[in-house]
Amino acid sequence: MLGNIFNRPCFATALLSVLLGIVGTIALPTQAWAETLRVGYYDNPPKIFRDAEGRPTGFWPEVTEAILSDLGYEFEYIECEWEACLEMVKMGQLDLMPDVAFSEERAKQFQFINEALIYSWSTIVAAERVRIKTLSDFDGKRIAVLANSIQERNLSRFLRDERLKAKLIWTSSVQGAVDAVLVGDADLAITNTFFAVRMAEQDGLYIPELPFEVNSYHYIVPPDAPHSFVQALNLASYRQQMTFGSAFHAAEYQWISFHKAPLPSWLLTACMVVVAALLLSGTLVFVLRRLVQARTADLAKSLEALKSEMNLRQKAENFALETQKFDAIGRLVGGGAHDFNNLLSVIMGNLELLKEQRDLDASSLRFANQALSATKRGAKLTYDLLSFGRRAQLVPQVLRIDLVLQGIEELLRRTLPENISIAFSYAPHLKAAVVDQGQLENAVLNLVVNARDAMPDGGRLTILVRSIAPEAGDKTATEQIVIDVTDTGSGIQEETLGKVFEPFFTTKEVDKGSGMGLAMVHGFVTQSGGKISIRSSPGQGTTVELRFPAVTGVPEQIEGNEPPAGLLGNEKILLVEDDADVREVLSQRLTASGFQVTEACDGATALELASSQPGFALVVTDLTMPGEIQGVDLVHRIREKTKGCPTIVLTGYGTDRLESLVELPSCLLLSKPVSGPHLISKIRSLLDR
Amino acid sequence: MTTRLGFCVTFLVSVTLASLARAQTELSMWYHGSQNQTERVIITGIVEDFNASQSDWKVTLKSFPEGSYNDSVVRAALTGNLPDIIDVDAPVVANWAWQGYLQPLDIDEALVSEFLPSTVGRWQGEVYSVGLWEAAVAILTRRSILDKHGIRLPSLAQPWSATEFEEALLRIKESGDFDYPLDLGTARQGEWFPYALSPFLQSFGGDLVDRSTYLSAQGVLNGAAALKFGKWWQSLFDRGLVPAIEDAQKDRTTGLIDGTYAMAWNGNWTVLDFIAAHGEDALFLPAPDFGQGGVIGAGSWQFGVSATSKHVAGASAFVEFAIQDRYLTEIANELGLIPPTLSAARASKNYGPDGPLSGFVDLSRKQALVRPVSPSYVVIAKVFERALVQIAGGADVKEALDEATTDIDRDILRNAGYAKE
Repeated sequence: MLGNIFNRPCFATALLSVLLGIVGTIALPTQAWAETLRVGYYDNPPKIFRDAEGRPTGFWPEVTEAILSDLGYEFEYIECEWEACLEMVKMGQLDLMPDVAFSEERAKQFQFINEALIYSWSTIVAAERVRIKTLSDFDGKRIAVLANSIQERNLSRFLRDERLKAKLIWTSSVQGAVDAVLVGDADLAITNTFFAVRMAEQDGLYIPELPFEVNSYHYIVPPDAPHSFVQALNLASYRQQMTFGSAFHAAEYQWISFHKAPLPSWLLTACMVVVAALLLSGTLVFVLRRLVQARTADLAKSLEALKSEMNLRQKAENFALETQKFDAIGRLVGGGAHDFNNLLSVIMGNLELLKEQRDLDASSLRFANQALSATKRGAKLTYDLLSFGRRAQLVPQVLRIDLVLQGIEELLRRTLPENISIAFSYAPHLKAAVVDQGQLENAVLNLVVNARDAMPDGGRLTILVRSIAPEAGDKTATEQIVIDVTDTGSGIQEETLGKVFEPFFTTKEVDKGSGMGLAMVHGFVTQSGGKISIRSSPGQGTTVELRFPAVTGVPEQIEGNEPPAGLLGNEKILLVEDDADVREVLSQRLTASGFQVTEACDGATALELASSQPGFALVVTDLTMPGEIQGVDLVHRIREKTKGCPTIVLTGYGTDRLESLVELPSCLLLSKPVSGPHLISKIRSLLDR
Repeated sequence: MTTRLGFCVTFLVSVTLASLARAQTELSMWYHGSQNQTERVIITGIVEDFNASQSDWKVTLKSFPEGSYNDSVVRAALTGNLPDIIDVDAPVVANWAWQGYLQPLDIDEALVSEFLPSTVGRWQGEVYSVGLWEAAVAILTRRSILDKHGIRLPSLAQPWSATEFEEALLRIKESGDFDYPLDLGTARQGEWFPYALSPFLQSFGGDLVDRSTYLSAQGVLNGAAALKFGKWWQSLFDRGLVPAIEDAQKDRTTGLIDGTYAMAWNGNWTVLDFIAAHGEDALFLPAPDFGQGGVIGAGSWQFGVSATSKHVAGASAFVEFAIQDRYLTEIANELGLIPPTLSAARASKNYGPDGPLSGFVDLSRKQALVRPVSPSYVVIAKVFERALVQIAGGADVKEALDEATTDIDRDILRNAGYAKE
């Protein structure tokens, strides 16, 4: 541990300094030579000169005051000219003379205080391309120097003594020497150090770490001055130099050094503490600001998210409200429609039976036909009401999409204002697809309405139905039936294009759209095994493409004419219908066609009959009936009892869950009221499979 | 009663003088001649007289060793510590004015109208300084030598021609009476070469720089006349008519007095010693005429006002005070230097009509040529000295003069022609 401490240079230096100070104070003679020392004074600012009050000041007076005071000497200045001062020292008329440059010649005439207090030298300023490592590198160089200066004299003497050959480039000013280097007239310059410090940052120059002509400046005392006095001055001078903050250092920084005096250590410490505190405060402020910014950003995001959620919730509530409204309407309409369809079924059945009377005259037949036509319009009206109330029975069917759309062309045209033209285009020989006709119509209607809203200033709407063959080599792919709905409207921005199928997304004004249109279309297409895509260019228009897998089956829809009345049968049929009038009419109609009809007024009776009287070839059943057993459940249980007996389900109310029935083999769904020939034809088609 | 009245008067005068002394503004003054005790006494006397003569200004004199004086001024200028009044060597005035060390004097120019041109420091139409004396050179020899070798005694009106001078040197050389026929003072370096030796070049028809523009030395320092001068200069050494530069004797007066040299090209300041040694046998002769008339150098130290002085009026007042004839005469009497004015010369014991040095007055007025008045002069002087040393050592004359010309022109170019900013 101690070894480590003593190995520290700073500690050793400090210790030596203290020891020397003690030795100097104890051992040095004080006032041992002269009562009042006579100190030579001559003018050589800033080293020694008189201030405004005429008092000697500058480096040497300040250091002299400190040294002689430490040694306990009184002293006075004796003014003299330089050469005279030296002569007076030699003669013993001065006891001390400062600022004497050491030379061997002078050392023979005076006693020098060994400790030099000032060093001076000339500075080498060289061009960047010239490297000066030693003074011998002066050989062969062009050296600029101020004419008639001490630098010139020293340089000439040095070159002569060292037998170096260099060409002097004399200049008329101090700056001129550096200029000569800068313009390439000289390789280097020897110049005043005060000036060189100012030039250190000049481009194209560098100052080698090589002082030139170093001179040391000392005190001198007469040749016969006591050795103890010389020693005392030596040690006092040394102590001044070794003591931090001494008068020597203060005077050096004040008058001699090119650099500013270092700040006191306490001030440095205080500054460091202040700077550290400021840095810490700054860091804290910075961190806090960042935290506040982050929190504010989070808050803004949360607020935005909350707004978005509230908006979504509002839309959901609106949608729910609308849904409830439609549901209420649907329930109202659906409830009425069921009974009304039953009534229509009775009327239609009776009229059809009436028409088959042989003795019916022409007028009665015409009346019956008119009544039957009115009955059918009533049935259509009921279906429309159910559709409006979203209670229409939707059933996937094998359909020709082109034919479906042709059927609603007029409806779509009426949807559009006069400034929007619409064109339909159907490719020839299109195959069928399995879709729900009502949903398909509804989907296309939605797309047309959207297109209309995208063209407030008018435009053109095109509906194209085409087919796309599967790609070559892809055995799993199938042919696709494609519906393109294209408008020339405002288009959709790219950043919002990906959101259009999201529920409640809309670009329309408030209350102008629910945001569910495209979402429902998307759901319908996807549920139907198809795909939906959208292409849009802002300002040019939008195309929505619906794709459905093509099938090779025979289309079921669009029977244009009534089935032939002559189709009869004798098979045993179980008729299940709770409405007695409807049951009676249907029974009569089937019986009239030759079938053996067994009637059941509810589900339980039907099941019992199915169990007790086997042999039914087909079951015709209503879907909504009183009692525990009805609807889809009844159909499944009857089919269990009858081992998959073909079934025709009649429904007049759209809330039934019929998805499970669609997939049953030999099971058909027919909406009430159903015409007799249509029913007979379906029965016949099932029985004949 | 009388005693009491006398006391009161004395008291009042003392108080008044003390008040005046306190009111005086201090002017600092630097002087280069601290080694010469006589000179220092004279200058100190002038300062004291000035301080006592008026109540506004008080000059404080500080003398420096001549060898370090210029460096002290340069350092003081760099650190902003120039005094109010500066002592300046005449050929350096333009340089210091250009560098901004000096400002023009605020004096009545009529006061210096009769001064020798070399004693008034002018640059670009302004008077910057005035000197208290003039220094001139001449050929110092003895009448007995001329007589012995049958050499004509020249006069200012009819100086030696180049041929006569040549023959005189050769005759003395052939006699073997002296180590060398002529001492040109080449042991002295620095200002001696342009001051004392460039007049030979000018007498040949060349010059240090083209004085019509001060922008080039081309054609004057390396022209035909200069080449002729250079060859003559080299021949002096080749033929042993003068000592080689490295062999030249430093104590010139002694060399002349003890007969080492038959003739010496030296200044008026040594003539009194020479006369003292040889009495009426001592002669000082005008410069030979090498074709364009005899030419001698001229110069003095002068007083100017520093550019940083805030008291140009006070400093100029001191200069006006110092250039009074009585001080010019005193300097001539005590230091042997030539007074700048005829009136001062006539009043002096050395340069008066019966004075031993009276011939120098006419010599200065008729043969003296001021050195080039240009800030570049300090460089020109150095370059010229090197060329002469090289030629004396056997260098090719044309190459040496061409190099000197190029160096001078480059310096002027680097300083943009030394145009006044």
